[in-house]
Parts: sequence; structure tokens; C-alpha cells
Amino acid sequence: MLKVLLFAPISTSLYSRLVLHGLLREQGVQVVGVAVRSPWNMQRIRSEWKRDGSRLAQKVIRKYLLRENAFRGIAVENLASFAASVQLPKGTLKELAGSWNLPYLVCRDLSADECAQFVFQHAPDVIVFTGGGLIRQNILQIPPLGVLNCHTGILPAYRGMDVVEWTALECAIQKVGFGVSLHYMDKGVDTGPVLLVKRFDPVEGDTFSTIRMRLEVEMVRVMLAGVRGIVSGDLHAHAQTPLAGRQYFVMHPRLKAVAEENLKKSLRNS
Amino acid sequence: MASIQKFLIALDNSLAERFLQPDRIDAFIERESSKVFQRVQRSGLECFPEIEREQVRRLCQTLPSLGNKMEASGFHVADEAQTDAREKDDRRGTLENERVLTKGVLQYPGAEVLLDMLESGERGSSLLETNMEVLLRHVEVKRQQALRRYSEPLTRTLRWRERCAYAALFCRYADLKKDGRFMNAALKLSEWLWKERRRSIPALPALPLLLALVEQERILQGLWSC
Repeated sequence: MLKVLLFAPISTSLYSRLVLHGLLREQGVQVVGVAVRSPWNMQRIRSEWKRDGSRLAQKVIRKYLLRENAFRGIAVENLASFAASVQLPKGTLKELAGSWNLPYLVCRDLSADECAQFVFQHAPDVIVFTGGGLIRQNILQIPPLGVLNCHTGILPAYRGMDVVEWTALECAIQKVGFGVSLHYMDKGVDTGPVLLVKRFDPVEGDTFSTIRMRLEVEMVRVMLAGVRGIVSGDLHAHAQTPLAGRQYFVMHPRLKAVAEENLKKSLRNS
Repeated sequence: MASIQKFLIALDNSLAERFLQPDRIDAFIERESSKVFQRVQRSGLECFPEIEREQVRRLCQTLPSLGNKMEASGFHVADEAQTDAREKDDRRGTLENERVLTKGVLQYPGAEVLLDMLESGERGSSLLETNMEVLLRHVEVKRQQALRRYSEPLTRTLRWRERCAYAALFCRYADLKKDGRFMNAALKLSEWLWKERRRSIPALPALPLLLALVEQERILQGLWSC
């Protein structure tokens, strides 16, 4: 039995709830606990505001207040339609964990001592990370297998933030493509050994927003496929070559406009 | 409940990312470059402090590529008296272990040294590449705080000039390497500098920011489309 502990960014995260819902139904998997980062933390709000600016307000509205309703009326596959298809119960992660009597911790920071103690206490083989900020070495070294993260880009080429947009800006849609990569976390940003890469073909009419929506669903599927692969022993991680990729950062809106044009051009020509 | 959801969706849609619009940058370039050229025509290049003369020359070289009307005015500054090699060596000697950033502190004049390297034959040097990668990460992680700590006490104006020089440096390096990550950082830097200048009393000099924005707009023209 593979013992898994889930890390989540907030208790309303649809992605985290879907992953937990899936893990609870996986053969050979035992979920031993859930740790969630508290949103009511000035340090977190400050650092996320500095990084995301007005995007933080959008994140709060979508992920904390609207949840599934943020996807209402959207035709492409998204987390809400996927949640409906797998009959995810309504409510928060806390309620979902509670209905399975899972140990549940709300902590200031997922690398904080209280969280490390929680992880030690429940001794998972692997941590499934579904967001919540940087994870420090004190946590990374606890689970024998490591900490799994699903990244919305093709590794090792595109590490970091906004990599869907960066792939388009750098005219790499055909050469590298869009997709998600499952990897073990290490002290770098998306530099750990890769378990699984799933490519995704955009279609005419796709925008960054619709591509992201579909990639979010793929992230759930790939995360669960990865855990399944670890249980069966079919999946093995491959170390990344450091120089095979670069780290990208939040993209400025002016470059994003160019990337959008590149995406449209690429979809027209494909 | 439904009306609250509708309100939240409308609010979410209205929260577009705010950024410094290109038309405001164009207007600034037009206005400030016009002031510079009028001053040169009236009193000659010598009326500028020595530290600014090279920037005026650079401005003259770059502006025509933006289609700026100064090109048509017949304005010309002789391409002379570039910084001599000895002065560049002296500047470079100020860098500890040839690293611009040491423990979060910027060596002064790091931006000028790297700009010298870019303009000389050292464009592909690993020293330049290493320093630029470190600086990129530093700027993206520390953001507005990134260019605040220097190895020596600087006057407000010198610090301003150095920070604007970093914005220009990121633009030119992005152009050289065709690497959008550096252009991305330059766009953020110039926006922070713009805001800082608007708040500053007394006003910080316009020329260093003008030069950085002219470089930025020049390099943004069509460079990134597939």
C-alpha cells in the first residue's frame, strides 16, 4: 500500500479536491492526511500580491469565492465539468477529508515546523503537491519517494511561471508544444526528476484561457496516473539535464499580447 | 445567490492586468526627446553633464529607428569621444570577483560595466552570461526591491541613473540573445522606474529613463513575432 499525503493551497481548491477524490478511489493507495495552507496569512498575501498583482484578486474570486461557478457557461472541458463527470461531492477539502476521517492540518506555511511534524507523524511514502508555495528541504527530505508536482508545461524545456504563454512567445508550439509534466520536486524550480509528460494539441479557436482550463483537467489525470504508475512500478523518474531548459517568470501583458498573436497564427497554420 | 455570483463574475472579468500603456510611453519619448534636442541645438552637447553626454549620443543613434521626427529635424551629434578603454577598465576593476551581485548587494557601477561588455567584443563571454542570469533571477524574485542595495553609498540621482541603466541593459541583452525573459524583466523594470519618477520630488532626471524606454520600444518592434 502506497501511503500518500496531500498538500493543498486552500481548502476550496477544485484541483486539490479532485486529486484527493481520485486518490481515495485508487487501488493500492492509502491517503494518510491532508495539509492545507491558510489563506489568512499576511506574509502569504504580501508575497503573492508582489508576484501576481491584480491576478491575485482574480485568483481569490475564482478559487475562493466562485469555485465551480467560475466555469459556468464555458464550453471547453474544465475542472468543473470534470468534477461533475466524476461526481465530486460539493464542499471543501476539509469536508471531503472529514467524510473519510483523514487527519487534516491547516498551517501558515507548508514548510513550517508544524507541517513538518504533521508529515513526520503520518509518514507518507510520497507527498502529492497540488499548490501552496515553495516547499523547503525540511519537507522534501521526509517522504522516501519524494514530493510529486504536476507542472503546466513541457519539462525540461519550460520551467517556472506562465509557460503556456512563453511557449507561444518563443514560437515553440510546434517544436516543444503544450502539456503537463509530472515530476518530483527538488530545491530548484521544476528541476526535479520527471515521471510523466503528457502533450496536448490545441485546436483552432483555443486561447490561453481555454488551453489552461484543459491543462488543469490533464493535471488531475496525470497526477493520478503517476501515483498509479508508482504503485504498479511501471513509472520511473528520469533526471533532468539542468541546461536542457530555462526558468521563466510571470509574463508582462505586452509580451502576452504578442504571445496571443503567435498562438493565433500557429493555430491558423496548423 | 445568483446575483452575487453574477457580480463576482463581472468583477473578475473587469480585473484586467494594469500596465504602462505604449501610448503613454510614446508621448513621454516624444516630449522628453524634444526637450533634449532643443537644449542641444540651443547650447550644444557641452551643456549636459559629462555623465549624460554619452546617453545623448546613444539617444541620437537609437531614436531614428522608432521613426521619431527628430530624424527629420536634421539634428546630429558627432559620434565622438566614446568612453575610453582605460575608463572602462577602471570601472570593471570595481567589481568584486567580476560579479555584479554579491549577497543581494549590487556592485557599483555594475550596469555600466555590463553595458561596456555588451558594446565591446565580449558579447558571448560566460562572464556576461553568468552575471545576466543572476541579475534576471534577482530582479524577478526581489522585484521593486531588487535594485536598491549598492556596494557604496550613492546619491539619489546616481542610484536612479544606475537603475535606468539596468533597464537599458536588460533590453540590449534581450536583443542580443533574442531572449524574451530579459525583455520581460526590462518591461517590469521600466514600469517600476516610471512610477518612481512620477512620485519623486524633486523630479528625477528624465534622460536615463528616456534612454531605457527608447531602447525598449526599439527592441519590441516586431522582434518576437513568429
